[in-house]
Amino acid sequence: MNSLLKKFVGLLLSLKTTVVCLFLLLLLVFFGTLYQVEFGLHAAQQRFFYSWGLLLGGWIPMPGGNTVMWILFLNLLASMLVHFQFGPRHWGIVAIHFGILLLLVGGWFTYLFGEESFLLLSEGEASNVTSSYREWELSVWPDSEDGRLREVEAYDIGKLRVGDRLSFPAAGLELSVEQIFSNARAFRDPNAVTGAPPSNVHGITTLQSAPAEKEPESNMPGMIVRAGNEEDQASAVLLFGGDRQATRLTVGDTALNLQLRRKRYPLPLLMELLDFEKSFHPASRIPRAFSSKIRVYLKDLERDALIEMNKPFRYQAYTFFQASYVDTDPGAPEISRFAVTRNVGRLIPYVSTGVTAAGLMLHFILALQRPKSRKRKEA
Amino acid sequence: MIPTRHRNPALRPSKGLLGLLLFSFCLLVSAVPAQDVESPVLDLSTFERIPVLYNGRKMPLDTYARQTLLQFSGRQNVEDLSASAWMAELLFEPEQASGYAVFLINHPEVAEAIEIQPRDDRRYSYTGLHQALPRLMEKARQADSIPEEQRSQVEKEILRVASNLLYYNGLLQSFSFARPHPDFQPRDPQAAERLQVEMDTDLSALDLALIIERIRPLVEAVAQKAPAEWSALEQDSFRLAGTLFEWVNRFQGAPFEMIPSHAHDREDWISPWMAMGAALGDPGVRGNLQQLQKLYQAYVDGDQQTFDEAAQAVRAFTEQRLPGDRELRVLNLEVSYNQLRLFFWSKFLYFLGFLLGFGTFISGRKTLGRLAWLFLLIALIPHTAGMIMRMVIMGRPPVTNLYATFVFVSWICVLLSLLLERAQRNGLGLMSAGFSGIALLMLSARFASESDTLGKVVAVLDSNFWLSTHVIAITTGYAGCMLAGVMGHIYLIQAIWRPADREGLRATQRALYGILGFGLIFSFLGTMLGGVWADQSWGRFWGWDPKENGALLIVLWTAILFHARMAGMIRDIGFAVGAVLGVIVVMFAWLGVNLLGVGLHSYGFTSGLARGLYIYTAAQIFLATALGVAAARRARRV
Repeated sequence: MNSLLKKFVGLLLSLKTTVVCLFLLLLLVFFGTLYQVEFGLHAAQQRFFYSWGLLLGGWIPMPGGNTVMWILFLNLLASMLVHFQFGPRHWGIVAIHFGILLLLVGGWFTYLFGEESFLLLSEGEASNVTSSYREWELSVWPDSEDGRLREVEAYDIGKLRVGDRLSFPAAGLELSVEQIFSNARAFRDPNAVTGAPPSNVHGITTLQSAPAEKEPESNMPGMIVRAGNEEDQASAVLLFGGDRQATRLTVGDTALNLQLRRKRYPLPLLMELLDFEKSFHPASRIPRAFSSKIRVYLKDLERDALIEMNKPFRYQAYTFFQASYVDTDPGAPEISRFAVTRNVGRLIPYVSTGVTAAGLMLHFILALQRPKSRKRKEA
Repeated sequence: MIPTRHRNPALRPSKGLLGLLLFSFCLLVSAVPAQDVESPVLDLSTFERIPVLYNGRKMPLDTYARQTLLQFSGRQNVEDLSASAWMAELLFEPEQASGYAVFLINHPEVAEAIEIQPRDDRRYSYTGLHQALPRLMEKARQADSIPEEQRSQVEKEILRVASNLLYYNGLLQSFSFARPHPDFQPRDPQAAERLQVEMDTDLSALDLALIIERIRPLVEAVAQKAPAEWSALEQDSFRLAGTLFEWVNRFQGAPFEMIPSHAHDREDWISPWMAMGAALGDPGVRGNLQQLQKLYQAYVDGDQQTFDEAAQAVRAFTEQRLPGDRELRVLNLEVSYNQLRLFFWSKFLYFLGFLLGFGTFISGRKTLGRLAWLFLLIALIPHTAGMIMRMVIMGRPPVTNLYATFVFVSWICVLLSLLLERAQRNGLGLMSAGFSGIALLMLSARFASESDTLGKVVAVLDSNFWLSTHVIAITTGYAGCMLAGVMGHIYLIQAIWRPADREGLRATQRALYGILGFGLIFSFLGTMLGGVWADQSWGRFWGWDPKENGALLIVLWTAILFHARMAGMIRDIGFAVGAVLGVIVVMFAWLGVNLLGVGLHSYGFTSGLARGLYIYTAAQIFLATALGVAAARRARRV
């Protein structure tokens, strides 16, 4: 047992393990890049970089990015603790490797706690929620009394299966899932009787499963849920990701709104788009700049800010970036699109970059000095 | 201790090398393209400096002409004409220009498909293609209906040629507003009298547009009457106004944006025909159109003085409309940049430097070394000047597009090599300076024909801070790794050729080690700064985007080499082979990922490179393996 442990520790401390890990990472990065051409970035990330293992080309087993980076992290940590020398001559090397460790920690932190979403605002509009790129939710809300505030209950649909039952206590609603597709095509039967079940705000009557899109952002989920029992045909509701409006369902005396929408993330602020400007190089469609003038309402105060390309607005762990815009008719309010990220460990990569770069420089300078000192000794 | 110089009398290149040098010199001199040949009639230097807007950038007409000709024919001159002389003929005497073979058709299948006789130089004149135009347009329509990703190379080529011909057709008409045409001559004496012109006066569209007000009431009045009741005067007035209206409408889309205007508080540029339709009420624009007509007339008459005056007046109008405009201020500089062909001279001198450096490396002769230093330092002058001129013209750091990366990387490689030479003094640095200088500048020329090398950067790249930090760092990293690859080659050749020369091998290995370390530092720094920029711009530090991955591959490969060497998994020869293979990794990051056409960085896209890159990769792997195996065998025998 002891010898096995020794072997394991020896392997963990070995420089050869580092080389093997780096080489595996190189292969993952290379094949993960090529994979993007056919399957898109998200699929490549999931298969190569955020996985524990995979079959390359469908038959060559290979550790995934998670496994390789964990081993590399442990290998580096153990080597630093056991092998590394910490004298001034080795400060460069120590800094390089400490920076890399920090980089791996930062990456892991972002992977676990980072949140990416987007916010579409037209001029004059304000919002305190952002929308997910890939995740969807089934949301239910009753008509609000003042027409402005509404209490929404929502379920993430990512893990829902046929037969699952969903409870919305505030709305007094129980739903069962009859059909669910992560990407669907929606059809309207021209012969269907208007208002016949399943009900849908746009008159869609049928859903059909569709293969996943290359970019998961483009997937449009669809589902059919039922409020009553199987015989109660009238309580079936068809919801499609492309629905512009909510489908209404009356349960007892209460009129409820049901909608399948991109998952919402609450913001700690309310953001209003005051003005959006885009400019192009003269007589061309080569974009010169986009910018959004925004007003942010916090608890007791409000402040104006300008979000431009490469100049985001930050608040706490949130960052708002000018991502793009939606083409609108001339004269209509313009629509700006912001990418929103929430990342508590945002600064870790900055620190690690600084530390590693300083270490590399220091080590390089020290290495350059070495032949000279050797020469001096020889002299 | 100064490293031993290698002296091998058998290899001393005294006469042989000097002869080779002389021969190469003659060869290069004969290869120097002739100076731009001016118009046989007029000096075009003022014409070349007229500002034009193209792809959102204000440029001198000289650049516009070069870009257009390059787009059509893949060359910057045609027969014995410079690009601007060709452009002048095209604009002012289109019938003559149509005989020049400027349309490059790469695929013989295209020539066959449109039923024209294939030519050896693959270039065809407008006159030669005229008969085949309907067939070409029909084929283009068919190709256009096929989704882009499913089009064959031939279909793509058909579309390219058709689009060039359409653009050329537009150019043919760009100055037709200034050319007299029988359609604009009054045919009724009363109409001539109303217009206050002689009956047989040659009028152009512009001439008529400027006096059309004189018959406007008549034209407006006839609209109320039945045509049968029109008098001869009314008929002719209506005909003249109608013809003018039709011409203005037909040629609105003709290119050549050279008149600045303002629309919706934004700077806009319009073509002369567009100005005829929309801006004739502006006295300034009217005056400018008259100057353009004068320019045309002076060219046709061969009147140099009037030609220059008109060209200067056109330029002065633009400058007056856009006072203090930065791009207009550097127009003359851009013309000089175009005409000096600085990078060509650098290549020429680097080649000589390389030969002399090679001679120094194998013979150790001081004189050759000094000469090589001299040539390389002189070569650096136009190279540096060219880069500085580009920076001033663009108002940007040195690297903003793929073309500029090659110019910059080659400059860094030369500097690094010369620094190395200063440290080692054995000719190795001289040789690699010359080699990397010429090789990378030659590669850059390949990208110069793709698009405007001084073009605008898109909004996401519009940050001089990041362009001068991340981009400079990553390209410096490329330079380090590329140069390490050159050193790797040299080491392996040395190891095969002179395996017993331990000192020489050690010196090259030390250089290789240091330069690869330099490459690692800057690749890492560039990659991480890229992460910081991405965090600032897109909200995430790392997204596994192809370009990010490419940069990471360089860092990983280099780190693998250093760690494998430390772990004893590879030795000197393995390290050198690794450095050689590292060039493939750099090429993948630099060019390969752009070919994938995916990701946020695909703005550096270029076409037609894939095959070259595959062949290069296969050849490089074969060469590295063969050299490595041979070097290892030789080492065992020693």
